[in-house]
Amino acid sequence: MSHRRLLVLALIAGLPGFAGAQFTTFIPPQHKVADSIKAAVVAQQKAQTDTSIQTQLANMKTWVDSAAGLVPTPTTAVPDSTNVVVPPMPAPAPAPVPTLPPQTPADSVAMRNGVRAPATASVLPLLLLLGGLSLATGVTLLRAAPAPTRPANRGRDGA
Amino acid sequence: MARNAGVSSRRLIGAGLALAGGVLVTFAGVRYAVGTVRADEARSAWEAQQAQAAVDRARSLVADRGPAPSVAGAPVARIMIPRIDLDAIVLEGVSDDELNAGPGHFPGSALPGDPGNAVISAHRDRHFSHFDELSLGDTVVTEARGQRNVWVIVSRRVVDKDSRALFRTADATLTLTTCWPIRYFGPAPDRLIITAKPVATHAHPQAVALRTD
Repeated sequence: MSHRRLLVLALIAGLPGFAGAQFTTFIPPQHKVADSIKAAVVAQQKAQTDTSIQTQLANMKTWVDSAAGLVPTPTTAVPDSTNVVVPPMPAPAPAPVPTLPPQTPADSVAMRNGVRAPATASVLPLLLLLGGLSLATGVTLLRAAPAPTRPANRGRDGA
Repeated sequence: MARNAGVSSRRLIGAGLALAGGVLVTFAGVRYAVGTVRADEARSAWEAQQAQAAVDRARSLVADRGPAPSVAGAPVARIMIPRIDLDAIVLEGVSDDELNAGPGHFPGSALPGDPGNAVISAHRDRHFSHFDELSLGDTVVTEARGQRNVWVIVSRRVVDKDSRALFRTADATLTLTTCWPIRYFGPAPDRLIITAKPVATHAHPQAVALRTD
């Protein structure tokens, strides 16, 4: 067996090992599903921890209030932070506005809080103006239009 | 022939316009006249009522402050505003009939001088026709329930006709309302609201009048 044949045989036997070494150093991509699950577990644990802290704080406040002789206010349920839907922040309570009852046009008959001013609007000036204008126009038209010719006059003119 | 037809139609239109105008003017004039007559009747009734109240007080038959009147159209107060030469009898109610005869006292509101908000309203084309001349500091005098109150105007504002502008008050307040603008043809869109606070109160106006005379 010549040296060349030995070298070929050595290459044939060694190449798969080399190739295998290459595959053993392959770094697989991160498994996203596994990561998200892991993150969810961590987040849930953290949320549970936070929730328990909030609950403890709320209980402590209740305890302090009761120890101080104050009436304990009902604590609201602590929302679960792991929920996908985040509950909206409670809006601050609006300033108390005096509630006004619904009002109808007939409400101008009795005094109460938040009532409209009485309907003192009068159409008499408008009627007076329209009447005066109409009367003046009518009289003007009557005066401008000559009286219709009489048949007797027409016959006399024709003769 | 056609000319005669044109002339006839023109005369017909003219006659119709004149007739309609006459009806409108007559209606408005009669309405104003009825208001004037009713205002005179209200003044007579008020004077008779005051005279009777004076006699009753002299006889000590009734207390100074009687029950609140609630009859619509009855004279309940007298209002005087020297600045605009107003001297009118206030009737109970703010319906068309009362406002046609004089200023109306808003039912349910206090009487002038009593604790609470006394609301008096009137038409802008009649009794409150010069309200645009009033300004802060002007004096208003009212007589009701045997006492005379002197008020000074402290507020003057214009609100929309649908604005809920009247409220009850704990202390004595006089609120005068009318339509705004004062010079306006047709139903006015706004309301002029004048508020006054009492500065002096005299019992028995007749006695005050005798002393001043």
